[in-house]
Order: sequence, then structure tokens, then C-alpha cells
Amino acid sequence: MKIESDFLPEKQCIVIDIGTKYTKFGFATEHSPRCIIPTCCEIDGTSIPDIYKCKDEQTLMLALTNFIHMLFYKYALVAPKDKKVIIVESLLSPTIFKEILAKVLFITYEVTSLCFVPSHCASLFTLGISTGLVLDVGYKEVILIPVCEGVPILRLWQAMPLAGQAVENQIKTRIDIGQLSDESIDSIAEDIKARCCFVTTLKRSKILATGQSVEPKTSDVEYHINGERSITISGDIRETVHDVLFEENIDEMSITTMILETIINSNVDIRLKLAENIVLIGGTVMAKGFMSRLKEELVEKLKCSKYNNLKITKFKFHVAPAYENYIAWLGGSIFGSTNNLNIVSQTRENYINENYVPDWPTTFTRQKTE
Amino acid sequence: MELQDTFYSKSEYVETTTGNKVSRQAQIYGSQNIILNGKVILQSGVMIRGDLASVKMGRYCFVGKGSVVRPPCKKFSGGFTYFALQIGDHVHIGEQSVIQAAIIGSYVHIGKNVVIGKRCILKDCCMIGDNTVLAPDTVVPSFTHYSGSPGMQIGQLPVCTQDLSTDYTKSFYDHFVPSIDNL
Amino acid sequence: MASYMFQKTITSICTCGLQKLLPDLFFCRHCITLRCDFCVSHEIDTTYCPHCFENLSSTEAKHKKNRCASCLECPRCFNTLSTRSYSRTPEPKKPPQKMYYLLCLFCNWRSHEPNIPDQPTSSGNWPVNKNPDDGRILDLINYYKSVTLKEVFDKQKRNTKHYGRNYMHFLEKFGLNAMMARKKVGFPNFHTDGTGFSTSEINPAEAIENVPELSANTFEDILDLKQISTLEQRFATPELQAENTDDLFPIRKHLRVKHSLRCRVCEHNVVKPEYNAVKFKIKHLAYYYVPEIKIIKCEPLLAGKWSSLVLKLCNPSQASTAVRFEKLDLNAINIIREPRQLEGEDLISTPKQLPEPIPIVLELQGDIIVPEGEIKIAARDDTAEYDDTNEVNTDNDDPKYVYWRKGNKVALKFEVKPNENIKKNENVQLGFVMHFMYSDTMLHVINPKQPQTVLVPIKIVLNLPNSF
Repeated sequence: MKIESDFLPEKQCIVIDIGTKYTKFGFATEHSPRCIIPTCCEIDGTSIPDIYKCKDEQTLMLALTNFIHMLFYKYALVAPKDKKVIIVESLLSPTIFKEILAKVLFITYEVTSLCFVPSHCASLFTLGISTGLVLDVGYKEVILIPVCEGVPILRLWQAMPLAGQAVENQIKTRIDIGQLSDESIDSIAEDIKARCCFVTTLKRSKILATGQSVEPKTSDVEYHINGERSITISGDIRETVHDVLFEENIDEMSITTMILETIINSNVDIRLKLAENIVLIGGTVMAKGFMSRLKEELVEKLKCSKYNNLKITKFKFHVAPAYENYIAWLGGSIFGSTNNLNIVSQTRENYINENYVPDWPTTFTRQKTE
Repeated sequence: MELQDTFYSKSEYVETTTGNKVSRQAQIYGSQNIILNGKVILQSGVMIRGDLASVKMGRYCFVGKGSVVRPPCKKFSGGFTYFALQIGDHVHIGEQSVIQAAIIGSYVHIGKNVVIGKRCILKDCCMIGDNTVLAPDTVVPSFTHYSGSPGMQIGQLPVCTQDLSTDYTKSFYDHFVPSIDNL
Repeated sequence: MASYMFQKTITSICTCGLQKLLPDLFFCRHCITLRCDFCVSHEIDTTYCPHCFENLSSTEAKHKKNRCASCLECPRCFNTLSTRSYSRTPEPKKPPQKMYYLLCLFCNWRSHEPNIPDQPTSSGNWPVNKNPDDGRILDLINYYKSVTLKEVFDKQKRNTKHYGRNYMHFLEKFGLNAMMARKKVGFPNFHTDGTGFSTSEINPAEAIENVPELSANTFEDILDLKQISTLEQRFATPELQAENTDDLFPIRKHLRVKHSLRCRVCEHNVVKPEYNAVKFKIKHLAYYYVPEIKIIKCEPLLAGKWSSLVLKLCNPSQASTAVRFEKLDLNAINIIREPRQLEGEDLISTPKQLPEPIPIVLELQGDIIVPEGEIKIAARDDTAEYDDTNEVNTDNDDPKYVYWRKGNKVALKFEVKPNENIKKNENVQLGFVMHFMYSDTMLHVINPKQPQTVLVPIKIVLNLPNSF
């Protein structure tokens, strides 16, 4: 029986990517996560649909304990004791979340070592390059951080709440789903977004924005709710919900301008390299037509006076050997198969003695203030 | 909460020497193939199809009103055959359920309006929630709580399910008393 | 049973601070405290398939990626698939051959839909879809592994001193060192003269300028939502997120585990299941030691007025016990008590860090008068149901508190008074502490003594339904 992951590091290493909506979970050196499950859990019968929204530390700790318990005993079927864990996280995740996660993993579940890998750096592992402009379009927000020679350039970070949730809110306001519980409406909106909608071309979007109709017209779709009734989703809605991602808000910011702002503010020598190495990750990017629309918008925006001086003529995008929703996880898995893991991780003994978890971008250690 | 007394009219129920309480309005077919091991309660409207194949029920079982207990059949190239239905001890079956399982273990709790598909196997100490539909040939492992349509696992049962079931079915039987005013 | 198992009318507070129902709690006999699911450590006992109940060892489970080899799930409704057979005569002279295909009995999905060929054996080797990018990812993994090893090697090379051009045979004399071990395993490209470590080559990904555009018929095509897979169906196989339901392949069934539970403080087993049955080798549940409380009768609750409440206590253990009640002191509720031990037993030193207990936040909405004094409850007697003469000693009972007594059950009268400002239809939350006498029946090999009894406090919270 040929087993590709036969050469395992001494102890099995687990890679977890806890996103705002979905968590990707699996073992290092494997080519895909074992499971992609929603990031929600139950405490004592009451369900918590979104762990990141927990209001106080106590609930967050209970929620995380239950969630990690479910991951290990329902999906991984291994005891967490004496295992190495890699958490692929967003560089902008709140510190309190990271500290409580470390506490839960080290103290309650007794893992041997823990390493936090930023998702933007990890994604570049899947491509074999070391410089790139990584755009992570998740559920709650879109985060753009350029990475140069493996180092994330934090001062050029850009983030906006224009991601999956914004598209779903558009769907909720434009389509009348009816009187249902909040969770049902959320799941129906997500289903409509994933199955019926797509990102249309720039030309069509402009025409539709003025209210005229465009040829060929997009067909309507009959959507059944709970097997009881059906609503019609008109073609216009199908193709224009994603436009909210490219619309400029009051500060003239959208996903397009985020990319261009970062390029303009970066050092002159890496500008060209960044523009020709754009990496898109995150579930929302998987919508049909996203990449081509982003490229059209970027090319269009270049003509604007603000960005006229940029000597960039073309944008190049990367295609990773994995579906976009788990590229960051795959990067973590590749990282977990290397030796570097032992060097960079925080071990349990160190954690108990020093009681902190180091941040990736800091070059000096940060002591927790007691 | 402690169980309250459930009253029944004495004229409606037949009580056997082994403690079985069978309603006269229950439709029992093929009674020679049906074995009730003692202290079994069959409420009114219950249909037990002993004419198709043999049906065995353990002690302290309870079958709620309007339920159907029917042995499952299997289609073969020649025709089809019915096989025996075996139910363990301390099993509680709710109202209006349709049971076509092949084997039901002991200490099982089945809710109301449940449809258990053909040839299902329910192991000991499991629970099927109300309004569940179990697809045919499903195997329900021990200490699980199944619900939904198709029946999927939604929870786990505590380790002492066996004793909880025993206590519940015994006290239910003890509280199933004839009403005093009816003669 | 279903409703009373899940209704949170009477809960106890575990040592860690969570409120749990009595059947969900465990009782550690060495620490003599309650433990719950949260404060006990889980260990994986056995892995089994929920359909065929085949037990797999943990190494086998790891190799098979936690999936059963023989059971398959329908990709549409996740129900287990069954095999159906039909006879086929491939050639007129050969005997008729039985061919098998997969069928879902719930949603009628057949293995013909993704065009899986029918198999000649019932346990047939149903094909598994391969990830098309496997090769590229394997190359990437090998490349990064060699890059990091090169870094380590370079560092070592800088630190070691050169004793001559070929220092390899010096190191060989002193046994297998790390470099030789790596070579033995078969690591690539190791130069024997120690000059360098060449890494495996890889083509860095090429960015494309002409990104794939929307296909022309996206707009006009009429969508059939039954043909498009939902997110849940896609995520069941993360490496092949097929958009079309026709392309969904059957999934191997995921295994389940049986846990054995261990107290974190004293490291003794609290629950240990037996191999193949419903029985347990070790089963220390609170349900078997702590007297169970059930509400028999509760007078309708009125704000600001006293109502009577009758609770039934049932002693589950084989030894008689005595209970004593006390009011719940909210200020002292969070004081963590040291694990007690019985005489003659060493307190196991625990240098490791334990999870912090959760601070208990309780809002009591009323007052409760508990029976005074000690109330004895007889031992559980299994033969009592066959014995008609129930000898019950009711001499010492205080009629003010003891309602009735039968065998190992006793009914007690409590008085409750909800607060004045209680809202309509809001549950009234009350608490009290019940101390029960725990008789230790463990055999002490070192110190054979009489069974000792210890008074164990249990904090109980009542959530009385209120309808006025």
C-alpha cells in the first residue's frame, strides 16, 4: 500500500486554520485538510454560531475548549496529548483569542508544542515563491499583506470588511427570504451566494448599475426554501451582489484600491514584483469570475489620476495547486513537514514557565505583563 | 420530575399472569408468533403483525398508542421473505411510530412519530428522537442520540443510560394503574 | 425519559464550576469530588466504524485516514450506502455473472451517476478519486524539507572544525551521527566530501496574465439547483470540491471513538468501557453514589409567599447513607477546595498545571428552607421489589420534614419563597447544599480498616418552572 505521507516527523503534527466562518483541520504533510467544518460549537446545549463573537473571556474559553474537543475526538480521532500543533492564523486576529487558544491547547489538552503561522506567509509555500502580494478574502474581512522574501511587510497592511459577509448582507437586503430564524436566513443566504451567484464582467456591471438591461440577460433561478415554498432570484441580483466588493465607499476604498495603495506605498524596487505576483486566497475568491473581474478593475483603476504615475502595465495572478479556501492550510501543512517546525514552535515547558506565546512578526520576545 | 400516574380503564386492558397489560383495542395479528416476556404494556391502537413473522419483546417494554410493529421483509430474486423482529428489554416506543427494524436492543428509547426503516439494527442504549425517519438498513450504535430525516447522530448519551432506562421503564410500569372509578 | 434527561430542572455544580445534570457527572473515588466532562481528561480507547462495528487499532486508523475500508456514504445525503446486485451474462457461453452497484436507500443515489463501473464482488474495490495536484504538492514538500535541512547542515558545517579534507571517516569512527542517519534514510543529494548539500530543484509557480474569464453561457444557462452541489456536500471531500452533483463520489465512512475518562488531579480512571459490549470495566458515575433528587410535588409559586415543595431522594448505593442540608452561601461558593483523601492514601503530587476552575455566577431568585438535622436513607436493596413486607424504620423521622419513606427512597418537604420582583413565567432559580455520607468501600491493601465514611457536599441548583 503506497502511503505518501509515510515519512512522518517523529510525532504527528496537526494543522488547524480557524477562520471566522470555516475551520480547516488536518495533519501535516497531507495534501488536503481532513475536514472543513463551520467554526461553531455548543456549550451545554446552547449553540454558539460564531466563536470569534464571544463577548467575554470565560465563554470564549469554554467555546474553544468544546470546539477543540470536537476537532480532536470527532474528526482527528487522536488524543491531543503529546502532539505538535500548528495554527494558521490571520496576522490581524485579536491577541486575546490567541492567548486563550494557547492556554486551552497547552493546559487543558497538553499538546507538546504550538506554532502560529501567518496565513499570508503560509500561502506562498504552496507556490514555491518567496515574494507576493497576498489578498485573503474570507468571511468577515479582506486582508491584504505583501510578503517579501518570506517576511510580511506589516506596515503596508490593508483590511476592509468587504468579504463574504458583505455579499450575504446584500443578498438579505435585496431578496425577501421571508420570516425565518436568523440562523436559517444566514444559511439560506450563504447557499444562494455559493450556488446561484457569480461575479459579472466590469462592462456589464457598469450598464446594470445605471439601471438598463444588458444582453444576453442572465436567467432567473427558482430557489426552494425548506421544501415548502420557492422564491425567484432574478438574474440581475445573481450577477450584481458581488459588486459590493468592488464598490468604493466614502473614502474611495475598495478591494481594487487596497491593492493599488499597497503597491504605491511600497518600496520602488519591489513594486513590479508585487504587481506580477498577486495571490488570491480565501473562500469568497472561489466565486466564478472573481479573478478576471479583479484584473479588469485594476487595469481600469490604473488610468485614474491618482495611480497614473505607477509604471505598471500588467498584473499577474497565481493559481495554486489547491482550492482557494484551503491554500493557507496547505501552506501550514507544508511548513509542518519541515524541520523548521521544531525551531520556531513554543514548547509546553516554555509556555508554563514564561506564560506567553510569541508573535511571528516580532523579532524580540514579548513578555506578558502580569 | 417524578412520573405522574397514567390511568387506564380496567375494562379496556387485559392483564396476564406475567404482568403484560394489553389493550383490547390493540390489533394483534398472529398471536401465536408473538412472545411478550413480561410487564409489557401495549396501548390502544397498537398493531403488531405477528402473522408475517415472529415478534419477541423483552420485559418492561412499552408501545405507545397507534404504533405499528411490523417485521421487515427482504426482496430476493425468487420473491420476498419476512424475518423475525426482536426487541430487547426496557424499550420505550412512543406514539404513532412505525417500527420495521430487524433488531432493537435493550434500554432503547424511541420517540413519537418515528419511522424506523426496514432491516434497521438499533444497538443497546441508544435513543431515537421524535419525528425521526431512519433510512432502511441503518445501524444505530450504542450511546448515540439520532434525530432528523434521514436520521443522523446529534448527540451522545451518558454512561448510565442503562440504569436510567431501567428506572424509567420500571417506574412507568408501576405508575400505569387502573383508574378507580371505572368498573 | 427523553424530556427528563435533558430538562435542566435540577442540576448540580461540578468542582470545575459548570452546572450539569446528575447523569452527566462523574464521581472520583480518590479525590471524593464530582467531575464532569469538561474537567476530566479523555483518552481514546478504541476506534470503530459506526456501521459495521469493525474495531481498528490506532495505527490502522491512522493509515486508513480514519475511514472504514468497507462502508461508504452517499455523497448527497450522507446516509450509508447498500450494495445491490443483478445478474449479467457477458457472453452466451459463460455462466451468468453477478454484478454489484451502490444504492442509497434514502435519496436513491446510485453509483451509476458518477459513472462508477459495477464491480464483480460485493466488497468491490470502489474507486477513490485522486487529487490531480498530488505530484506538485509532493514536490513542494520535498523541496522545503531539503531547504530547511540545508540550513541546518550549513549551520553545522560552520560550527564544526575541519581536521582535514575528508573528515567523514573520523566521525564514522564515533558511531552513527545525524548526517549518516540522514543518508541511511535516503535523503537526497548528500555530497560525501562534505562540500555542500544540494537541494531538490523546483519550478517556482508562474503567474499568469490571462486569467480564465467567465464562460459565455454563464448568463443564459438555466440553472438547475438540483445539479449544483451544496457547500456541505463539497466540503465532505475537500480536495475535490465538485460543483456538479453528478461528479460527487461516494465517501468512505468516518470512524468513531470510544473514550475512557481519567480524573486530571489523581490520574485514576473514572470510566473505562469494555471492548465490545455496552458494559464498562470501570464506571464511577455520580448517579451511582450521590442520592438522586426528583421533584414530586410543587405548589404553585407566588411571589413573596412561601410554598411547599416535596423532593424525593433516592439512595443508589449499596450502603446506607445520611443526608444533611445547608443553605447555599453565594460568597463562599468560589472557594476552591483542596482534593481530600481518605486516611492512609497518599495525595498524589501533581506538579502539572491544571485548568482553572470557572467562577460560578449564580443568581438566586428566592429563599429556601431546608430540613434540619440528619436524615438517614437506607441502602438500595434489589430484592425489595419481590419482597412484600417492607420493613421501614420511621421512628426517628421528624414529621415536619419527612413526608414518606419507602425502601431506599425518602420524600422531604421544603419551603420555597420566590423573590418579590419575580417576573411572570420566569423560572425561579434556587440553590442549596446537600451533604451526603459517602462510605468508602475500596479495599485498602496496606491499611485494612473499617470502611470509612466521609461527608461530601454537593451544590444543587433548582430551576423551578413558574406559571402564574
